[in-house]
Amino acid sequence: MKNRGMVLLTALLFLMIMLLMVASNLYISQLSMKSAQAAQQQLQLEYHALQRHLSQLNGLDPAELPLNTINLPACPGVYAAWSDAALQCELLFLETSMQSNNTPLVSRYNSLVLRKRVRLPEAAL
Amino acid sequence: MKWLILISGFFWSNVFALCPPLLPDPVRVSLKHQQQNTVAEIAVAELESGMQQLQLRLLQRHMPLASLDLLLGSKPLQVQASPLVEDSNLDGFADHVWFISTEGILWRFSILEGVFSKPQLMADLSDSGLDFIATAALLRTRLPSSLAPLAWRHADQQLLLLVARDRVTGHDSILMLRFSMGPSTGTITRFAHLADRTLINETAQSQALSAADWRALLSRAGWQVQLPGKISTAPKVVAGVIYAAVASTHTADDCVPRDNTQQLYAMHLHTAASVYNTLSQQIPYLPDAALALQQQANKQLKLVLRSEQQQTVIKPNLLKISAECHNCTEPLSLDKFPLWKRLATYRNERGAY
Repeated sequence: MKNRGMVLLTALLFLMIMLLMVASNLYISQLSMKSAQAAQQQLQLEYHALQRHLSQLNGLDPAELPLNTINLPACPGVYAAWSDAALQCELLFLETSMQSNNTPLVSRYNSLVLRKRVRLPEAAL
Repeated sequence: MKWLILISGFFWSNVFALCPPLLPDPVRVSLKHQQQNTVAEIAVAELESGMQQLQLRLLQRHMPLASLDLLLGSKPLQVQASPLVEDSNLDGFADHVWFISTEGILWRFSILEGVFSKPQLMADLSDSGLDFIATAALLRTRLPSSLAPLAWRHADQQLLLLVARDRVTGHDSILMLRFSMGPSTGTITRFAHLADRTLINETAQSQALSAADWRALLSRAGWQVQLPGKISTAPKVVAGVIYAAVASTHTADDCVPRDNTQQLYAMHLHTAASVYNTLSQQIPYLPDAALALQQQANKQLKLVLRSEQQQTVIKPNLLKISAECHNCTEPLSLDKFPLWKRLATYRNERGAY
């Protein structure tokens, strides 16, 4: 009976020491706070990157041709097709990248945008 | 030695005349050879034996880089219509060439790295009783899901526009052949597979297509329209509308117009239906003239018939076909151009908190 009491007491002491060690470690490293906020911060970064990307897309000026544009030899298939080169198409790659300040996390959005324009060959007689 | 073909454009003559030449004009392409661009052409040449040959040759050089004897079995073929060049992946390099014999045998072959591959038979229209005298265009189209038939596996299609002449009456027909951009099924298009869209009276011409008619027409391999005369200038497709000027002649073999007027036909690209109030209208005939586009003060486009000496407006306020519905049209205005269209967006993420 005396031996059993000693074992129980030792186990309880051991558990208490372990609990104190873990709790102090978590407190010092703020690991619990980080793990609680990680998912939320990741989502926030993604959301901001998407917002900035969409505003860049909406702010594209049709009259200005960005530098990283590829001239296509012909337009991709359209319903109202043209037989000559009056309808011209250019392909633009638009990239928005956001990086977290504290941690090595990068969220990036890439869009493939097509610009269509009509260029008439020559002026009237 | 590595040869790559770069398309530099389709060079069919805009001035068609009522009788096109018996040998087609060469089609120009640019070659990339040892990191240098060189202009070349694809031409139909007549050999001393009388046989015709399709040749890929550099300008200012006589020796062809590649050639193809125009034979069907042992029977020689004659080609009057200009070959058409295709760039299916839009990389600026020609992938394939289409050509049609005068009898109506349509072939397609690849020219990757400057080598002609074995031609594939795409259509046999030899039972039409027509002579295929010209190609008008090779177009890429994509129908919206609301308009494409459910049976279509690929919404992306290539439309081939051909001009053929009746051997008896000397009247021209416009033919549209539809080919899927997906993997080839090996189906050979025959003349009977095409819908006959020749509309005889004005009532039939101005009647709007029903949804059932639309579905029935799109289930066919294309359409053909017989015209009441000879096409006088290269047809033009503008925003889904085919414009073709047709002049009448005294006899079937005549190459000069009977009157100083002609008819301008305006047809829906996909169905040959009427786009404007009437399918055709009278316009003046100008010798050696071509169809051209011009911008109006209100930013809408107009169609003019232009020769070196003069020009005349033949269609102000052009319309475009609209994807809203199968009968819908809207004014063709430059107000909407240039426009941006987002094709795709990708998300990429690296690292973690």
